[in-house]
Amino acid sequence: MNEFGIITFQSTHHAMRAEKVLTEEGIKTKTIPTPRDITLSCGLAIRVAFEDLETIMELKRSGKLDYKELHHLQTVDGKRALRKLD
Amino acid sequence: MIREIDAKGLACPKPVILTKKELDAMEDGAVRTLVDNVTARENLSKLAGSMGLEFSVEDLGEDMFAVTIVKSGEVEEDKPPVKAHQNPDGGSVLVIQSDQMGKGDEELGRLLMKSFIYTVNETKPHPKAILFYNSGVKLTVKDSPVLDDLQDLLDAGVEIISCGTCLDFYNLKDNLAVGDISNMYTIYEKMQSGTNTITIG
Repeated sequence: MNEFGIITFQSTHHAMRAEKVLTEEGIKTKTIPTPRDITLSCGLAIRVAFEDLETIMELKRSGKLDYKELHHLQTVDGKRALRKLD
Repeated sequence: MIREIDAKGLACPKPVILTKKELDAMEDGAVRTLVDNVTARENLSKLAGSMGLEFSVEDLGEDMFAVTIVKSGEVEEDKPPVKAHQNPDGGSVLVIQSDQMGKGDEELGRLLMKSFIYTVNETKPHPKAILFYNSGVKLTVKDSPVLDDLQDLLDAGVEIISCGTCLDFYNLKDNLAVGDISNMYTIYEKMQSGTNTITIG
């Protein structure tokens, strides 16, 4: 089973800034095209480990990180389950 | 008849060029090429493989090797050329000529490249080979942001090839972290072998 957090943004600039902030916070990121089942816009998203989701929500609450949406993506037997967390 | 070539001290594609020239010129026989580095040894082995010829390597110590490639008239017709890692999934070849995707803002270009390589890894069929040259080789070395995707692709049978001259130029030869080093001959051969060659950079 694969579990990830997918963070989406208002703009590419927001994504670039967030990538820097997360890296500084020691969170491993992976820049990916926003999955088509989240939005059909051509934006970039950041994929993070499931374990880091709490930290990421905390970073947003403290104003250090800005994002549009946070999703939980789970892949079981090749099937994708997407849940919006924030 | 064995032709002997002393290719010690010659830079990147030279030993392969000289050896290929001799092999092309002869009907029957062997070429024994002396080289003084591992990359040249590997490239000669690959040359033999791509021509479908038998070869042997002697380790002469102190980074010296002799590669003997045998060409016999009949072998060529009986045996189709051996192609390493043939990937039945896809026939396209991806050429990555920069560590950025597109021209414009460099930071955006690097970000797009990461996103692109991820997409290549996620999408089937995979290309049969990905070639990296010029600053593209910065993607196949230590600390590259796309190493995990490239390693996945390699494990899935995709050939990952970095230009040796370019690694050398950027002083990254010792940092190669995924795939093989190769020269202009292989790069061009791969470009020609693709049913479709896609250039990104």
